[in-house]
Amino acid sequence: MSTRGNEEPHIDQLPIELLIRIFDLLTPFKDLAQASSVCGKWRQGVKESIGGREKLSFAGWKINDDSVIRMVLIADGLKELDISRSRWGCQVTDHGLHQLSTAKCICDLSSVSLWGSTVITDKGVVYTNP
Amino acid sequence: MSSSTELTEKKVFLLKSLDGVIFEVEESVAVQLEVIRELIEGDCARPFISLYNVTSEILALVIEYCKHHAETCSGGTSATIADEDLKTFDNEFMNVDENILLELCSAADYLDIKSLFELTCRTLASLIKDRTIIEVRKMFNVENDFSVVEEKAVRKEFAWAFK
Repeated sequence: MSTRGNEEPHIDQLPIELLIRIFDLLTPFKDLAQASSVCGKWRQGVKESIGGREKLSFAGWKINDDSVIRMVLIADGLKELDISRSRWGCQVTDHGLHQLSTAKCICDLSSVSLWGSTVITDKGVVYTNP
Repeated sequence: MSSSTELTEKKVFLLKSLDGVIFEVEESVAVQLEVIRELIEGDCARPFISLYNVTSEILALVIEYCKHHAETCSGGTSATIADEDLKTFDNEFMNVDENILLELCSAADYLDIKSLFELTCRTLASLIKDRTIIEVRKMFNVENDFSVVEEKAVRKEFAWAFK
């Protein structure tokens, strides 16, 4: 028989591939942020989970250029990106859009929602659509 | 040789756990373990199949799960009733401590039982959700291995998500 019994549960016995599958089921960024702060392995797991996503929506999050770009740059398979302003205001600027155009996933990205963005000008949009 | 279907012998397989316990299971159960499907179909499952990564305690649970799923799906009940029944069963089945849950998750992955793997992942995700970092660390006995600098970096990375 196994020696379990009084042993404490140990999620670290799970290989990172399984952790990633569990993190894939967490959608609100707050849950991902919490998980990322647990330990180094979890941080890596969250990063890889975000990196594997086809859809990211930052609508409703008060998020700036740098944070959006950091996520998009790791999401190589991204197909849909929502950075619309929504209630709180996702604050992506022309500079952010330009940075986004350098992401690896940009060729596969079929939809970017910028609805309600007030700080993006034609300049930024034209830049990303050469 | 009267009623041939009644007398048809049900095929059974023997599964041996890591700690040497042998379980006899029917084919309807064994085929749910994708990892041994080829052995079963190729008739290479004699005298028993060794499952090196699963203890008898966990294997017994896995077999209980597969048995219930096989019986419910072949029971001739309507799809909606079967669905409801499985949902209730799954919910009760997941009512185990975190340790068992983690072992079930790894076992389902190793044995390649998709539905059980998804069920355990969903349950684990729901345990992580809406809990504080400290609660999660305590629940799963995870040590905080961040340096002060790293901890700051993680906070900064996701500062927007905590607002």
